[in-house]
Amino acid sequence: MTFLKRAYLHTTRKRAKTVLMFFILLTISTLILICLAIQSATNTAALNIRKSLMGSLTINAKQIETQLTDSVVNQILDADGLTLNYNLRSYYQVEYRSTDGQPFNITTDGAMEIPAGYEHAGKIVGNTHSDWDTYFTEAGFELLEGRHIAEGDSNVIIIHEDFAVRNGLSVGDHLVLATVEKAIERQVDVEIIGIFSNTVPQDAYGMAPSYDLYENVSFSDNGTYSQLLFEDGAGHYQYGDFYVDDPAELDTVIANVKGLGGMDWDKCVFSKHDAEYQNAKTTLESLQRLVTTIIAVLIIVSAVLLTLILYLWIRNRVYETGVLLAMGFSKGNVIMQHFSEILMIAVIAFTLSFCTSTLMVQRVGDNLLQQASAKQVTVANLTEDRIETDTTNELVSITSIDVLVSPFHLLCVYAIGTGIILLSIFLASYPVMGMKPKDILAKMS
Amino acid sequence: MSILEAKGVEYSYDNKKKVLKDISVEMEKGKIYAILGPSGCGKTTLLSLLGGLDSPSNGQILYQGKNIEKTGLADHRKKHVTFIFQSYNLIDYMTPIENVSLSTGLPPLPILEKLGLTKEEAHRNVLKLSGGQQQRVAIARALASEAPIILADEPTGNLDEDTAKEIFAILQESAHKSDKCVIVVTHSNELAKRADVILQLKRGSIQVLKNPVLESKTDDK
Repeated sequence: MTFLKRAYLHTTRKRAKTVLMFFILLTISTLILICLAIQSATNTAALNIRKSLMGSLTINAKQIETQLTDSVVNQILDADGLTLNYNLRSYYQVEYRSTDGQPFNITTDGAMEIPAGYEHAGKIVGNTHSDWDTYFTEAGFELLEGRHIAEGDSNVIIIHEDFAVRNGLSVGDHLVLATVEKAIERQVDVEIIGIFSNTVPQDAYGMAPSYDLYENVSFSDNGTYSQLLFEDGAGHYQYGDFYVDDPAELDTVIANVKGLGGMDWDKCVFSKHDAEYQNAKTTLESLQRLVTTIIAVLIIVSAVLLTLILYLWIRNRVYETGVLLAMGFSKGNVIMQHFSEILMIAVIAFTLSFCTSTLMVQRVGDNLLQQASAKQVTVANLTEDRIETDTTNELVSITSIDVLVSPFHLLCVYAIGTGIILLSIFLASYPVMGMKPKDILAKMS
Repeated sequence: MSILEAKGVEYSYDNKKKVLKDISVEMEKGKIYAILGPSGCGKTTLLSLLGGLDSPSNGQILYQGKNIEKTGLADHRKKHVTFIFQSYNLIDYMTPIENVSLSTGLPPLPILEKLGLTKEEAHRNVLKLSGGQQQRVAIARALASEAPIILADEPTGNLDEDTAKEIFAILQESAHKSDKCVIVVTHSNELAKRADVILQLKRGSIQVLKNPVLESKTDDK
């Protein structure tokens, strides 16, 4: 009689043992399958997040006399790892005047001071794309009318609703921006292309000078900035925000940029903006670590549990082993019978675990994710003078992942499960199989 | 010519006291041998050595003149010998037919029926049979194997007197009619007297006694 036939007879006749082993293997395989599915889901989520959460680097070139120029910007855009998305920014104070030279009125309520010479001045933010500016992305500014500043715009401006009302201005009107420093005396005529407002009150209300009040802030193109502050009128930029393909590669991209010639990079300040990615990454890494640990613990506990149970069962079957050995069956043949018995049950248990794990996987995944979720997120807030790092309560984290059990996971469970069974059978059989047939028969009697 | 031979066999546990001392004996096909002796004299040990379940400390076990240790103990157990144990040693999750099928060879049902089991009993779980029936299954398993040597370790130890006689008769028949070499370990002098040759073990030494009753019967002829 072959070991397979003997295994089949044992499995079908010793039903209580078979059912017990079936549930043990079903539990083990379901848990492993769930963990493998969650692990795959987190890996996929991590990859998607790297693609979807844009990381960026900001170069602050205020300390350099020429600041960032067009040729340097083009050089930077050629560096590996950067997308073609970028925003160039500059901050400066100007006096607002009408086209006939009359100064416009600004808001002064809530200002800490009105510096001398700044009675009609406000802050201008030069931008390649005003909708990418942090005032709009993070500080709650909202365009009410017209359009944003876009690349290629020249001598255009968007102004605050309050300033427009106060001075009777609307989209399509022109105004003049003039340097505050009288020694330079430059002015540029700009067209109003949009009107915005702030939906969130100013944080530093009562602390800011008059020109920094939200109502006195406006956005222009970078060309206007250069014409006002540089004699050559060519493109000059204080800050450059460059977006990267993969936020995980941000350090490498910065190193690539610093390797470019044409600038004294040591005088520039580089800042990384990958808080969202880092936060999501932290959550995912916690989850990945948690799942990996659970898988390792599961495999070890399963192997130990199976070994103990099989050891007891094989020890109780020393009688049968002795008979088979006395009949000339080899030890290997007897071990193969034990292995086949468990494998027959395992094939059914593992296959069924596909259904049980599919039913449970999403709930378990969400629970694990909740445990691994991050706390607070650091969001970079760019302002005129420095890059501030504010801690907000806004969560930029992974709140759910789509977990699916795939046939590949089932294959992994077959492989891992068979490995565990083989190891357990070997360990459990070792004490009995190490004995001489005569000793086994002596034990029987 | 002898089929099985013990040649200068000695055995000791952990190299201490010798259980068997310089045992030399030859066994032939067509005969039943009874190994007789008090408890602890080494009867079962000798049977284990003859069956290749263990190796002697000194000496050799020869099957048709070849040392079984050299040809392989597992091979010897598989091809040359078959065991019958006092506690039957049937596999409890199998029917008599399946137990007998463990040994390769003849179809099991005719053998079981010949030994007195009905067809229905042959398909029952072995644990639902009486002691005598279980031992018959064990003997059937031994007979179904085509091994020329049957080694029986107190096969009637758990049976009543009448059943013991029946079982012994079956073994005798196996030796005389099926030309097997049957070696039986027994405590019973009465059963031993029915054997062709009695191997008396005493303090580790063996004395070969031909059965006087059978001898005289042979002489009468």
